Amino acid sequence: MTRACASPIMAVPISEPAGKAMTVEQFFDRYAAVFWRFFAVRTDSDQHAADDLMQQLWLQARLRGGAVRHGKTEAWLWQVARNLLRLYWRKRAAAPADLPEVDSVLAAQLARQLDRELLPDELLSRREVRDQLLLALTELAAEQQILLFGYYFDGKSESALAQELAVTPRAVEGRLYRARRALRDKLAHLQD
Amino acid sequence: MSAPKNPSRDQMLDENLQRIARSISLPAAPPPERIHAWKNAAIEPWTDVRVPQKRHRLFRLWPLFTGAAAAAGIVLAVFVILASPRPVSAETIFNSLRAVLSGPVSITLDIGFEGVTLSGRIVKDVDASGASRSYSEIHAVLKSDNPEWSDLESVTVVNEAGEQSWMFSRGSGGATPEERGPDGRYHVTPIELCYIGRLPEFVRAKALHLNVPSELAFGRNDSFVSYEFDAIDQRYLCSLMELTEDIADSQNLDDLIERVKSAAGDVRVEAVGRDWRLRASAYQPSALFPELDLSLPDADLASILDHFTLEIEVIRSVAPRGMSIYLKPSGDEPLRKLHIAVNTLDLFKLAHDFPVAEEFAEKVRPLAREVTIVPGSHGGTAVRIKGYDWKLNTSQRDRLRQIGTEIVRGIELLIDYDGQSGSVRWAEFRNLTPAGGTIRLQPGAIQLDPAVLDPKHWITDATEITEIYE
Repeated sequence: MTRACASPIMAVPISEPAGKAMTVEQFFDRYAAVFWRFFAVRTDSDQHAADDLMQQLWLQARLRGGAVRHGKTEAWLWQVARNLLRLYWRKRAAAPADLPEVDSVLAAQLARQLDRELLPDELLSRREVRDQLLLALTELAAEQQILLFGYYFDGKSESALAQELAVTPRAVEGRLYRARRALRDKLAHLQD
Repeated sequence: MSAPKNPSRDQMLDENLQRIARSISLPAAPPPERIHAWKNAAIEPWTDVRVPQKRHRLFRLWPLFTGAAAAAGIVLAVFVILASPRPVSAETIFNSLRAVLSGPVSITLDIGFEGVTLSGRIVKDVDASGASRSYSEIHAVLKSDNPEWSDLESVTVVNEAGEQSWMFSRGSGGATPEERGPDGRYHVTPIELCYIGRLPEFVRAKALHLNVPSELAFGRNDSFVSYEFDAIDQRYLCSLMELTEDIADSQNLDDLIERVKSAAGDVRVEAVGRDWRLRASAYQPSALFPELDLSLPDADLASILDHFTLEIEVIRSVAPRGMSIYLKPSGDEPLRKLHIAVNTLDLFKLAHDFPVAEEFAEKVRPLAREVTIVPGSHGGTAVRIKGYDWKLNTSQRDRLRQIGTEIVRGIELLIDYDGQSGSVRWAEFRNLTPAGGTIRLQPGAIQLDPAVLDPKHWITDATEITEIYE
């Protein structure tokens, strides 16, 4: 199997077993790269903007994270990230014209094709198609992103991912399967 | 548990993701030192910045709208608070039931047994002077799936109206063992009896003409057949009769209410919308269900004992034989409470030989891990035994569950209570056995067709008429 070259994105080293209840700050440390990617995609790779947003996310995690109930950490942090992004664009007069935008119809069409036929190269070369894929990928749960980006984009093996996530390779195989399905489902219901 | 996989589709997903990874370039990831920089940067949290914009003039009315909405909300909240019924106690609901029963009331019966169905109505009317008049019409039908009997049906009508009292009884479609018909079924000449009199004893004694509710009898002289209820149905019928008699007799209302309360092993008051409902379930021996009688093989009893904490209670007043055994669930078994009177077991013999609880406990103690003497639930003394030393296999455990399902008979009383008026709308006894059925009590006497109140409506040429006057 040929793989894409390893992307420069690096996950924060993980020492805690997956699934264990974490504080918001721990969660931030663990999945900082995931949130950064989320911001970067939605600010047209404006690193300064993404940095500002990450600082604000960290600040919110410090200030209000203690009140978040166990088990709700990830959902809370994602909601804060979305709110910050909304606030960021509201503070600016207008978003750049070439910012990735959700095209629900196109995304749903991609979802239907994804597990039925090979996506043609010309389709993948279209900017709007790549945008839908990126928007969907970066909306997945943090661990699913770690798996998909690690396996497909960074070329990590299942055993390497298993070590990173402190699970068995067999578990990685199952989670990868679910992550692929989650991506397809996310595309099918992608919304702005 | 992992989701079932579709290999071909998943393989396609896998290959497409590889293609996507090759064609998409991701934003460059931040180095770890940048992550530390985010944390250490001295920044202020963003606040929700209002974006100045020109608003439509109707927005000037916004405070008016919000003020009106707030006022409406307050009014609505006050209304809901005032209109909401206050929580009531079970005692209050029982007292309300007592008030219902002391006035005019109509009762609809639809009770199923294994072989027979009882249906009909009982109406009690109370006039302004307090004098009561009652009418009951009970139909008993043997179920048609009985291979030997025709659809045996009887009707007993009792009209208690002072000097105009009368009782009519008719059996039809019955059979006798000596008179098997050409269809292979038994046939019998039905009887029709009518007693007309002034306050006759039959009216006072029994409303249902089932003096000893062990059988339904049909026919006359040499053409006589009967249907015998089994032991449990007999007790149920007995309870039913006592209940209807007590309802008809206002003097016994206190006793009736006490019996209803004692019958309820589990009483709770539930909110239903803006009203309340009292739910009383009786799975235990009580005035309505005096005792469940069962003979079990040793293995079955052993199976039961293995699952349940055993409690042997000496209750002379309730159980005529003086001994009974209570079994309570010790784990997550589906049975709430089981009451079995056994007569074939060593334990029962032990209990029989040693009616005094302390002596019995001494006898049992060597066999059990824990034996305690506690106050009985019915005023007697109970001996609680845990960890009786019987070993069981799986089939015995299954048999236990089956037995439990078979023998646990229950009745549930539902009382619908109007939280606004503080009165009972209706009450219903529900038969929780598979046969099902209900006895529904409704305040207020229903209007009866005058024709059915006249004995001539029922009498035919075959009716034997007896006039009784005191």
